[in-house]
Amino acid sequence: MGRVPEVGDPMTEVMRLFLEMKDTSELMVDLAYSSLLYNNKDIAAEVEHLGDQVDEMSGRLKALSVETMSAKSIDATLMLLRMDSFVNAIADSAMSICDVVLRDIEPHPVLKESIVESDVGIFKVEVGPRSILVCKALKDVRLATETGMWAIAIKRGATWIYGPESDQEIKEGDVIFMKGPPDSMKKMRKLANGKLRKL
Amino acid sequence: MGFFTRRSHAKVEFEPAGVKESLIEMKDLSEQIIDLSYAAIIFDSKDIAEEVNGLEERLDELLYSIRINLMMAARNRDDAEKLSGILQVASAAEQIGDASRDMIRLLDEDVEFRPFAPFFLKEADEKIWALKVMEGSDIVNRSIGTLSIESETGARIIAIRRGTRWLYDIESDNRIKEGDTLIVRGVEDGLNELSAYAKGVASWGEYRR
Repeated sequence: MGRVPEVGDPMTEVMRLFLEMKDTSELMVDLAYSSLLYNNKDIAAEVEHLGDQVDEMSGRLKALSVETMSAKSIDATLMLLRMDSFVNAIADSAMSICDVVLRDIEPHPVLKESIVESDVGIFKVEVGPRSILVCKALKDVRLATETGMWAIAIKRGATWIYGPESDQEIKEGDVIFMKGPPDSMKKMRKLANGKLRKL
Repeated sequence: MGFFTRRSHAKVEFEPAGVKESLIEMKDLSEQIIDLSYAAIIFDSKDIAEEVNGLEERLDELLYSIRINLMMAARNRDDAEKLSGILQVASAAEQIGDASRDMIRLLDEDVEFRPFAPFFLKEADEKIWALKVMEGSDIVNRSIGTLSIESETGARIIAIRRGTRWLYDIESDNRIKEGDTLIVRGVEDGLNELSAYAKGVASWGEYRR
């Protein structure tokens, strides 16, 4: 009881996998609302792609937990399976939201309004040439800590970077999709357009 | 039976609240309920689990009210197509509520949770921590809105434990009290910053910038 599993322990591997599923499922929800807000099919398609990844991870997680953990602890296995269903339900929910965008009917305006007015908003900003963010990694500017805004995707020209890692570098012209408290959006815009030159 | 009492099938009161208001509430609640579900598991807390159950019931009510409103609003096929999208998004939020309720049933069973907690705390992209507000911290008696905690540190307060009470619906005019335990979600360096302010090791100051 209370033992922290060591690296190499199958339990560690199972839980790493679980955490990846957890992070992916939450990214999917954020992306799903972004696709709805901007009626953007690229983002919606990515959510479906991530959904396939979650499915694949979920299959591995189930196999691993039954194969390697059941002998040690049936309780822990049952719990993992329950948590696996939870993450799958979140991923399904995100896919279901994207379905609205992929259906080729302009989403009802009330959907956009509800996203804009909720506690955790979704925004996009374009990084201008004078911005101090240019050529810096997300972790160097500590964007989440300094502004409360969490980057969920970056559009660079025709390519997309979904769920950017903390060492992802920001470039001039990037459009950053983010979620966070509406009151920090003003600061974020100033940082992106270069009017605010320090953090 | 424990704290998971069977849901009643009592008639849900019809609320004429606008669809938009209901949708906003559902989106907020579905995000809050995910964080609270993980927090309930991490801290092995039946109190938080009970709040998850409450939020899940609220999500059910909201979906019901949205469904009724939408059915009354559809006049033709075009309307119905557009409105069905709203229903789909609302159902997706409610689905998260159902899944949360199912997951936290874990707490009703005699299962060893502990080995899982450290992983959540150390490895997830965004972590969930419990921070105690100590005597001498200058965030005491200031409102969450004035401090603008989320914008300043990236840490989002998802619940506050005050004595034996819990606050879940955190509004910007809620004041932080000495002895509060803040359940917060965020990235590690932001959580470390907030932790230093809560302990009184660092001073928030009048204006942080």
